[in-house]
Amino acid sequence: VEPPGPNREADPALDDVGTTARPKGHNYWMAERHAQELLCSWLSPEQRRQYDARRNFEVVGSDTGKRYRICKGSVFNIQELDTEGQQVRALCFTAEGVATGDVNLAQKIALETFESKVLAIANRSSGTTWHEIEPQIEQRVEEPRSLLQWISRAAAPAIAYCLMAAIVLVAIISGIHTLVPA
Amino acid sequence: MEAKMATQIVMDQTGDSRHQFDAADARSVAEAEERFKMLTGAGFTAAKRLAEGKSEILRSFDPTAEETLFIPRLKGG
Repeated sequence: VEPPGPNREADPALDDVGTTARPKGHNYWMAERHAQELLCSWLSPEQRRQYDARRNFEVVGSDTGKRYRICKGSVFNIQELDTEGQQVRALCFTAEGVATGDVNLAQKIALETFESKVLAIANRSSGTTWHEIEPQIEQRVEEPRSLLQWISRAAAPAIAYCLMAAIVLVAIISGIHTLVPA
Repeated sequence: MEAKMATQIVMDQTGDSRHQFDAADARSVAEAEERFKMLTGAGFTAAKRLAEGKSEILRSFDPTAEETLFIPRLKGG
């Protein structure tokens, strides 16, 4: 599914002439990969280290000097931090029609260069759901780590089907015994 | 001597689109300036990449910027 975004066909400013624009038929996952590459290339070495280690990075607001943690994501993924590095509240503002990496880069640049302006449009929440959501997502897409784990996962449905079949078979046989007198 | 190419990067649904221009070529610079005006006029924010992960917002076209990023209009989520 292609996310909505600037229409390159209709907008001459976005045409491909003299550019290295991406080929047609681009899909969401390729867009996300390119956006992640762009984000990483614009991070400072320290931010890059943080992002590689824990999929979030910290920025300093241009007007207040407050610290924010931008977590990989696009909904209430910005944590405003206190002096101890603890979350005070979560913020949400986004760039529409672009991949997550682009959203996070836009958030970084906005907070680092025009913090007050972007805070004026941001929505606020008492806390972020990022830490609660992310592990669940990771668990859902986690690949089996060992052969035993893989076999147990693959075997579980098969065992369930065999048990069901056995129960049905027993029920049929006992039904036959009931109907046919000895 | 090899010409120094500057890049305008536009965030879009493909991740980004890149437009290169030769800062020493007047026609190429004029096209880049025109693109800058069209994009910022359409609501994009232009940011120039500085060293060490820093950036600066551009209010007008800077032909000396090696890398300019165009960010779609931001809105509260």
